[in-house]
Parts: sequence; C-alpha cells; structure tokens
Amino acid sequence: MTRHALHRATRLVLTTLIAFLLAPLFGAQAAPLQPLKVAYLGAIDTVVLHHAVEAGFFKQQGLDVQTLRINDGPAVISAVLSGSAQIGYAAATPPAIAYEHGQPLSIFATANYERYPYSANMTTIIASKRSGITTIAGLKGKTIASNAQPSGCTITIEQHLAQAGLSIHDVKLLIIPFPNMQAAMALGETDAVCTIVPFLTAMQLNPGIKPTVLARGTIADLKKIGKVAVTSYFGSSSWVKSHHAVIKRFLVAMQKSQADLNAHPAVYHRDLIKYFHMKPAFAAKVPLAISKASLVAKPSDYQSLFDALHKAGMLPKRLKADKVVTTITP
Amino acid sequence: MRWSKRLFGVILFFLLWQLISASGLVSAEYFPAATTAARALLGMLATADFWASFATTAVRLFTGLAIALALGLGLALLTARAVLFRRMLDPLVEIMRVLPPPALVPIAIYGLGLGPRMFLFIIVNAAIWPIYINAANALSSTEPMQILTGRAYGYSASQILWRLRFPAALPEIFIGIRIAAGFALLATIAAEMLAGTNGLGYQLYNAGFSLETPQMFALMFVIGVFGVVIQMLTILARRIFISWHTTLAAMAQPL
Repeated sequence: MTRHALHRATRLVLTTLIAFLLAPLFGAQAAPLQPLKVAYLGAIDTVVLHHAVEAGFFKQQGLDVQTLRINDGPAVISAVLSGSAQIGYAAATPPAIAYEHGQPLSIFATANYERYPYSANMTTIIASKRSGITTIAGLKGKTIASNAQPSGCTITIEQHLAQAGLSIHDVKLLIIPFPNMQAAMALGETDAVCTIVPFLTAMQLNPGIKPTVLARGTIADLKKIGKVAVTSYFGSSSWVKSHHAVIKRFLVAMQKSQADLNAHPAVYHRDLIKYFHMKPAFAAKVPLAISKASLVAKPSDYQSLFDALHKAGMLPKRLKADKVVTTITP
Repeated sequence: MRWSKRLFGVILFFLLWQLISASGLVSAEYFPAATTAARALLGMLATADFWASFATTAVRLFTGLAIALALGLGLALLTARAVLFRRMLDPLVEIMRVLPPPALVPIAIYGLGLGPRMFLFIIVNAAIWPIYINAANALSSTEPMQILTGRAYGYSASQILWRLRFPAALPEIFIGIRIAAGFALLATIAAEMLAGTNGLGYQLYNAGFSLETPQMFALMFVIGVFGVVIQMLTILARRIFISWHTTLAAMAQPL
C-alpha cells in the first residue's frame, strides 16, 4: 500500500468515526416537525396561538402549526370534522351543539374563562345613552342585538333577562355581526347590544354611544360559580383520543405563549396590531383579555355553560360535560 | 357621448358621497368621505399584500367561471339532445340555483376540505345555473324555420345542433355568461369572507373586524370595479365571438 493510499484510508476511517459520533446530534435536529393545522374563529384569544407560532414555541415542541382563519363557527366545526384541520378554536357553544347533533368532537383545551370578579374578556350587554336604558329590566320592549343565533351572546341575553324576570320574547332580538354593532348602536338601529372585546372597547370609547353596562358574563349567576369556560380548542373525538402526546406538546407551547403575553402586555398590543390590523392608538386601549389560567380543560368548568344552553333550548337534553370535554394534562 | 354620460354618473355619485359625508348627517366613522376612502385605496394599492389578494381572487373567480361555463354548456347540450334528461334535471336546477353561497360554505368544507376545491365548488355552483338555463332555453327555442331548412338540406340531428341551434343560441348563452360572471364574483367574495385565508373577501372581512372603515369602503370599491371589468370582458368576448349578431341586430333597428 502506498503512503498516499494509506492517508486516504485513514481519512476515510476518521471521517466515518466522526460522522458516527455526531449522527445522534444531527439526527435530533433534523427530526421532522409534526404538521398541525388549526382552524380558528377570529377572536382576541387567538393572539396566544399567533404568538406561539411567531415566537417558535410550537417548533420547540416539534410541531409545525399552520393557522387557518375561518369566520363562521359551523365552518370551523366542518373543517375539523372533515380533517382539513386537526384542531379548531371557537366558543365552547358550537362544539357542544355539534356533539349533541351526533358530530364526534372533543374539547381538550380551554382558551379562556369568564370569572368573578369580572375578567376583561366578559361577554357584556350594553345600552346606548340615547336609549335611556340603565338596567336589564329596562330592556323590556326594546331592541337588543346578538352576533348570531344560537350563540354565547344569545345565552347571555336569555340568562340576564331571566334573572330580571323577563324572557327573550320580551325584547326585539336583532342579529348583527360584532363589527357592525357599533354603527347600529350609534345610528339608533338598536338600543342595546351583547358584545365582546375589542368591540366593547370601541363602543366604550365612542362619544356618540356613551354606553351603560347592563350586565356582564354569559352566566348570570357567575358570582356563585366563580368561573366558566367560554372559548376552547377541540378536535374530532378520534383524533383527540389517538393524539394525546401531540396535544400535550400543543398545550405546553400555548401555555408558554400565554404566560409570555401576560408578562409582556406590549407584545400583546403589538400582536393586536399585527394580527387584527388594529390602529395602534386603539390597540393600546384594548385590555389584556387573554386567560391567565391553565389551558387544561376540565368538564366542571363547562357544565354551567352547557346547562345554560339546555335551558335556552339550544341543547335538546342536558349534556354532561365529561362527554365532550377531555382532560389532558401536559 | 355614451361614455361621457356614464362618467358623469360616476362623478355625480362620488360628489354626492362626499357631500353626504361632509354634511355630518352620518358619522365619518361609519361613512368615511370619498376622499378618505380614496386615500385608503391608494395606500392599499401600494402594498404587495393587496395585489396578492387580488390575484388570488381573480384566479379563483376565472377558474370557477371557466369550469361553470364548460359544465353549464355541456349540460345544456346534453339536455338539447335528451328532453327526458332536461325534465329530470329541472327541479334540481331550481333548488341548486337559489342556494346562497354562504350557506354552502360549512357543507363544502365538510365535503371538500378547506382547499381550492371548496372555493371552486361554491363558485361553480353560483355560476353554472345562469349559463345552463340561458343555454338550455336558447337551444330549445331555435326558429322552427331554421330547423326545417336544415332538415331540407339533409342535416342530421347532430349537424342541426352544432350548425344551427348552437350558433343561434350564442347571443343568449353570452347573456348567461354575463350574469354568471357577476354571481361568480359574489360567491368568490362570500366564500373568502367566511373561509378564506387570503383573497379580497378575506381582506374585506378583516377590515370590518378591525373596524377599518375607510379600508372597507376602498375594498368594496375595488370589488365593484372588478365586477365592471369582468362585465366588460364578457361584452368584449361576445363582440369577438358573435360579431355577426351585433351586425344583424344593428340592421334590424328601425330606420
């Protein structure tokens, strides 16, 4: 063997040895990310989702999350059931109604709660100053707008009317999308509206409306129950059942994103501008309305909402929350 | 002269808009001045995002319209040869043609997913029926004299369809296409508003959600102008493909 050939053989052996030693390291880095599609309804809560994507929290958990905005609750359900998206985000109402209609869905994360003392994200009923209404009882015979029927807002209206001894038949219910409520109220088309942040903020800042808050919270006796889950992440029952490991990683990333936004309100306000195209001056006035609690879903947090849905006739029979809500702890 | 009158109408509309806005009758927050909307439009036109959205919407619309045209004409030609098939199809057409595009979105997502197929289904369903109905009616109402003459010349049923009935039906088919183009635009925007992650409809919904009223008005203006351009394109296509009809129609005008 010549000296040249000997050198070449030595180099080959050394290179192979180094490659063999470093392989596990490179192998770990090059592991493919798990693709995950999340269909979501546009709402403030989803800032947490966007931030988790942008900050790379999902990638740290080995997930490649693609977000798909859908502006219709039933369409989010369809996207999840058809497999176009593995995860859906919406209010807790559509998955419960879908489940009751034989659509196998499972809620595995709570995006946000309404709490007592009142949190910033409360579903709120307000009346314009020009309407002269100052109490829920004052709504009798008046016009009130909800964003959809059935919806969380319809339950809110029914719950608070019932507490005041009235029913939905005592008011004129209008259906107006959230973004158009401000104009409807300012122009006197409706006396009151049921709304959420950031539309609530916009109306409170509007001198032409000068709203009076009539009631807060989807559940009228929130003071008694303390908190209720109102928005959620869910998947098809079969997907949730067979993907606990993926869901745990999803929850870890989301929890990290939520904590980061709560710790840095400036980032939250920047994201409102970036993802919801809010004007900076307005975004700065929108309260920090994301959850501070664990995302782990518990049936007990949903039961009062599902009972309210049943009471309002939106669920034909009482739905036990543990049928729809799966607790997965990361 | 005709163009100057049309232009005058448009100018008058914008002047009225500006006047109403300036009068303070409606809050500028919900009804911005034409000049404010124009500024928002100019700002939008300078962004790559807008042009990407525009291109997405245009591709969806023209693809859907092309498929609707092929299917609508195909069905009409089929029913022209098979009356029984037409009778069977008619009730379904009556049901399908009145279905509003937004109502189809959840069903379409469920059946076809969130991809291009869902959009195409909604657009095609909106556009196919005016084309089919106009074409089928026109194909079934050819002048009997023309058909008899064709038979006298020894034309087969197929030759009568392709050489007489189809050319005679073209003016009405183009009317169907023109109506379908408008429906296709409506369906595209509606589908994008509800289930789009891009496109002009998606941008319009976002502007509404973000309470950006001038941008909303600017986008509505863009969609309106886009609709006019599509109508003009169908008129141009009509002139190219059936110029003979325009000449004949002009000859038929009373002196």
